[in-house]
Amino acid sequence: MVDPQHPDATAAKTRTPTVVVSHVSVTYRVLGGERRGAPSTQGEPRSFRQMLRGGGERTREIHAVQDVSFVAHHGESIGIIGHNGSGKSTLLRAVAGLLPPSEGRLWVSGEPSLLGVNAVLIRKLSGTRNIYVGGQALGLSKAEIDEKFDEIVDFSGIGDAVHLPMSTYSSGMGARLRFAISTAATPDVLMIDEALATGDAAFRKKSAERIKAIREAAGTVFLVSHSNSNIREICDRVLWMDHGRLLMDGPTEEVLPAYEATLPKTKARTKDAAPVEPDVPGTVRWTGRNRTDVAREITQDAWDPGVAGCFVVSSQGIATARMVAPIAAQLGWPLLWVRPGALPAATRDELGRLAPEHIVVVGDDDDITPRAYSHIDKLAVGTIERVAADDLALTAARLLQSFPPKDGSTMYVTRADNSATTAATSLKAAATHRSVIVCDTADVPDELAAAVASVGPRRLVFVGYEEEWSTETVARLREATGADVEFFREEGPMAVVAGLWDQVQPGGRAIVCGPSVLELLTAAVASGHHGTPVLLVTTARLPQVVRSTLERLAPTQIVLCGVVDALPPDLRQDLGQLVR
Amino acid sequence: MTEAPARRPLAAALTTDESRELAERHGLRSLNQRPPLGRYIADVWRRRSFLWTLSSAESYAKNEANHLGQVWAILNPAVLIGSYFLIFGLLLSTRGGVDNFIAFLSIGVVMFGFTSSVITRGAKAITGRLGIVRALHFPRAILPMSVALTEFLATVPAFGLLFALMLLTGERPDWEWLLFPVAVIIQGVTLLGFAFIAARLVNASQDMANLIPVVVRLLRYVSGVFFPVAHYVAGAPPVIQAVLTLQPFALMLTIVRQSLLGSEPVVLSDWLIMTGWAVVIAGVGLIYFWRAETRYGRG
Repeated sequence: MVDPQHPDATAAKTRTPTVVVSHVSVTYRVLGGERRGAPSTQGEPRSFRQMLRGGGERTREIHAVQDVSFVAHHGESIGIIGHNGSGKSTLLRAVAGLLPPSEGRLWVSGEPSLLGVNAVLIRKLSGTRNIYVGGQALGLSKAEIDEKFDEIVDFSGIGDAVHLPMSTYSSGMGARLRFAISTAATPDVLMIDEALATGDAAFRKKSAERIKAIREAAGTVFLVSHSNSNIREICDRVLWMDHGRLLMDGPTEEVLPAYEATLPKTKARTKDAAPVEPDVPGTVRWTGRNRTDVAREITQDAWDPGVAGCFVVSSQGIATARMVAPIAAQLGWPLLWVRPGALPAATRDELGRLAPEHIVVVGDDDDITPRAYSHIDKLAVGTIERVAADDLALTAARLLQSFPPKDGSTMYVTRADNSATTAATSLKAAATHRSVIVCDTADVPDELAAAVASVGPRRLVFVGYEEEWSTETVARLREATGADVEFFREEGPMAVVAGLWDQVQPGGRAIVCGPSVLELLTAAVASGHHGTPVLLVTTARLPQVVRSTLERLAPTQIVLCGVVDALPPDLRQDLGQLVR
Repeated sequence: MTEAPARRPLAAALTTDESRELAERHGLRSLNQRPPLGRYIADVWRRRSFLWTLSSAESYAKNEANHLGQVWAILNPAVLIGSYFLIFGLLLSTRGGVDNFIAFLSIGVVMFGFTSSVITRGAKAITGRLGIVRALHFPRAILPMSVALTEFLATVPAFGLLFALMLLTGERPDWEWLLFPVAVIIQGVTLLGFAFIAARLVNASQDMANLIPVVVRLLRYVSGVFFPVAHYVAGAPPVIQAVLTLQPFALMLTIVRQSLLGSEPVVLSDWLIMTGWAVVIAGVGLIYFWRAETRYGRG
């Protein structure tokens, strides 16, 4: 079986490959319509196809994966790690045969099975029928599925809900059932994209055991996860992707520490003593002991005492805050943060200083407990109102009704997960006076459909891959509005944010935020108030897109908004070079 | 900086040839290449029970969505037949010399309904099933086939209606009625071929999805659903006559009428030509569909 002349022969002894990836590149072609008059593409002739699509949209190429090669063997479990936008998920999709590589070749053993965010096979069918459809598509016979049926249902833990249509399932239930179906056949190659994040600890444990069983049965498991502890627990080999390239490939205990060394250590350091860093001319840092401290720096800078109103949201309810931020930006009201059970000192101080005439508290009792609310109530000098609903879709409806956007022509729709991309979407909406709604259910409530229809958008932009969205959700909102539907996916969050400031005159100040969504949203709102451009940097290295934007903006001062761990001193040095 | 302080250099990647050799030695499947046609067809055959599960699940879901369920499968064509009879039979009187106009019309409506639903739904066979296409590997030809089968199952109650109307309007069963299932199979196979073609076109460009209903509507008017094509083109040049009467969408209605209506004798040549259409269109459709196998559900 093993060819002794093979270069990898010593390592590959007794091992047979399941996946061979040879010099694979994946290039997306995207319509870059979101960027207003990006200078680099101006003057290019527009193709007929682009003209057909209408508007001034131009296609751009994004090299999501570049020249990646590796060989995976039987019995291996391989983690794929890297920063956001490094091409992890794209690589996984390519290996699963779901995205065509633009260059290179790949070979697999058996039928690779990808477990992604979109867990549902056919939404309108019951779990039972999905088990049969999925199992047979994977090559099981009906008799084999009959035999495994109870085991699949037990494993997924969804119980009697298996008889209900999958459109009624929560995303966690769907993911668990998909996992149970996909692993029932003991696939040669199983790929998991963050799916283990769903479900409780018990399910995670069960799924880890099943993955172990698949490996023992000589299968190969790929796992993309943001949780390094997940990777450490499950994977014996790690591929580290960086900017679309494979940076390292080796045993977990070698690659993971090297990767972790590049991450901002948000939790590791002591909270009290802020580390000293050298001053860099032209730059200042707004920082503090925690995120709400940083948020206070932003609001203190932007608003003088005596504001017409303010919004209070919970650091546990980031998805809600993503909807509130564009509204606050449009009204010019600050956004303040509480923890579910407590009012942080920074927020207490700001509420006292700003003395808002009206306070709008957004979030249900889970996000903001009655105790925390009564705290805010006591501090209120003017009126106070609360917007709370059982789920995000209803909250979205209430917010749209109470605070319709100035620009209703385009509306952004995101799912409930909080990533840099969804946060960047809020920044974009804030900068354009549009609205963001969060809808994480296939059954769009009538209230939300009506609220969206009353705004009357001509264009609905769903953030994420098309298949991550349930067709029901998309169809319902499309029907309610008659709007054109788009899916927004490829452009990274840093590029999205950097692309917002094309019309800002050079000179003046610029704010740079780190990966913490809380600071980014607060800054987005402040930017809506005073117009200072905000940029997002989620990596330790200054990305080219941010660098070139700053070069054009030629700021006289750059504000680093975040603790030293989030925006390291090296980055500050780099930024200092860009100040005029 | 993202660079790790000390990192293990990447092992030198295998060249493409070495990779191919390694993959082939261990019997791995290339993801960039579609399987050979023979193996593709064998794959489809192996998944025939999947095809059935998918189709019956679809039919079930379709009925479940409506309170009247299966009743619509009869009510819908019945209402259509009624309204067309009102318009073409009574108001416009375009009977074109047909004796039993109700029977003639109801065959047209029911059988063309089958055509229209297979083609319009077949066009979305891939794009309407992205969830499953992007999650699982199986020969994608299963999807258009499942649509054709689902639509056939959905039309079965209407076939019952057809026979009831035949008897009510004075047609008498004879041995030619036994040819009806044969005609339905020939039609179904032909439509499957068109579904293959439409599914690939729409997958390549969603814009095509808007065009297909227009084409189907056009076909409805030129294929003799409401009136005998031959009667109206009698004065035209022979080539045009042949094109209009022998095109598959018209001919598939003609052979059903020949099997059911006493006034229309079975013409062997029509049946042979229609069988030829079925074989050619299904074959061309399958090959056309298969050639894009690696592109479905991507992008």
